[in-house]
Amino acid sequence: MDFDVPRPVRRRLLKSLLAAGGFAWGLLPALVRAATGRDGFDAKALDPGLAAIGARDARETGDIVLKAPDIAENSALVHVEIQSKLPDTTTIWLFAEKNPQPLVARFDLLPGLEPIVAVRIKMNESAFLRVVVQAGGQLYFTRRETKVTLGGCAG
Amino acid sequence: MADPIKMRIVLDGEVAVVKVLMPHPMETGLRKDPLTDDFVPMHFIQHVVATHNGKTVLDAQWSRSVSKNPFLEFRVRGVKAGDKIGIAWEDNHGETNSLESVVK
Amino acid sequence: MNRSRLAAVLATFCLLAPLAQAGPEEDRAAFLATFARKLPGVAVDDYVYGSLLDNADARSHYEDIMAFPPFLPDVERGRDLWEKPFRNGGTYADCLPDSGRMIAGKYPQYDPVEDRVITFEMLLNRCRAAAGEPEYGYGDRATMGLLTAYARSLSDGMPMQIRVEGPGALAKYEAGRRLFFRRIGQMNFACATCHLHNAGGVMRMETISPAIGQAAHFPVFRGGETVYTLHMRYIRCMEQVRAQPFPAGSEAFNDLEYFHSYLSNGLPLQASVYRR
Repeated sequence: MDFDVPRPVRRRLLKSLLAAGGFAWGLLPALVRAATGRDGFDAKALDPGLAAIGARDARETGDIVLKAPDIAENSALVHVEIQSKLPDTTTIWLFAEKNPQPLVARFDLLPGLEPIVAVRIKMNESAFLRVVVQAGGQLYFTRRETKVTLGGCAG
Repeated sequence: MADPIKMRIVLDGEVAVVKVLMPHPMETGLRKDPLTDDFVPMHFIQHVVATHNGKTVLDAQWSRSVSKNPFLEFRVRGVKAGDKIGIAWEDNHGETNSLESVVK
Repeated sequence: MNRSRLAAVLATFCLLAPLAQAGPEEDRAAFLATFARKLPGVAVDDYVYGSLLDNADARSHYEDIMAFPPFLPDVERGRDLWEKPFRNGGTYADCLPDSGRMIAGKYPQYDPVEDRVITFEMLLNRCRAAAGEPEYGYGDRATMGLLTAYARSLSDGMPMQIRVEGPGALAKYEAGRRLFFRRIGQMNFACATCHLHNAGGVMRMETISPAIGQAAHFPVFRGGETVYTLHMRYIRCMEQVRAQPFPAGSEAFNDLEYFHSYLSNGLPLQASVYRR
């Protein structure tokens, strides 16, 4: 299924990448840093990170399913699955609360996307993972703890 | 140039389950080169876009905390055989890569 | 076979004859009985999961990683090494029996002509030597490590079927067995200390894997990125018990692998799996 993308297709993909940010073609490097989608990524602790995305008063809910290992046997490779059961989910943020910069990922879901994403992340230490979801214009969150072990005998 | 993106698509009714592996070092800037003892500069994918027949369906911003050779899974509704699913990424050095696959 | 070699073989045979009852199959049965006690409720088929065998959380995470492993580009580099023709135009597939498919479970094998154990990796190097190519170092991750990560995956699902037949083979098996039980290093551990007597126990926050099943799932990609062949793993074990490791590809490790692989007979081979 893998193949090289013809130039026009590549161009269109990059254009769509640009369009998504609402910026002009040709400003790609500047765009990514400038995009509002980067809000919160520079925050060095959870609270300012939440504040940057306006999620300090997000409501805790059981309608976000956060699947992650209870114990991460390898802190550099933690598989995380997120499913929002909230209607009209538009954005999902993932925080590793004790990482040097806790905001790990932001997913903007456009029409046609199911509210399920999975990604693998690095964790600095045992911490809560926190998912903030924007749905119907409201902010919700859930969190669960993943413990990180050291060691390294597994084989 | 980074290794090619790998994409696997499984069509479950009208929902495409898309799994993507994007070969990339994802350097945090906190790792030291064991030979030189210098920090390896930060180098990570920070923007990922997924498309369905050219239309953006997912726009993701990432930090350096995403694992090496990033994995991404997402599901697209209203997909049929012959449709195209695309992925494009850009990293903090301005390097980009993309792939478009036809749904079987 | 020359006369002195024949004499040596006969002597070995006579020495071992009284021990005939404690042969490889009896060893395997004894290991199985021990693990049945130490790992109650764990199916023998699950031994290949090693330290993940009794941990649903870790197993689920393992399956998530294996569904699209981050080391896939590395295995594909191994495939490129496998497919690239030698200077004489030949390939590994031309050189190996059954084009190299579904054969790894038969290795290591005892070669009576050379009177030594031949590992699957030695077989790959024999193909290289026959084609006039330099052999790969058994401790070299970028060449032998990735090549065998791909080459062994061509035997995925094949049950391990190591044969120990005849006094020469038995002598090598016994040499491997002795190393397995020999206490070494500053910590005075044998392989058996952990992976037989304390299998299923917990050390450094993880379950100690049983010796049965281990040899069936190598190479592993530790941390999802660094390839370890079985010999590289042996070296790591020896370092951990503060012993001076034998080199990868050494006769000591070949014999150990022979014994160790025999224990996994019947279990399906799966190459290139994720370990933390």
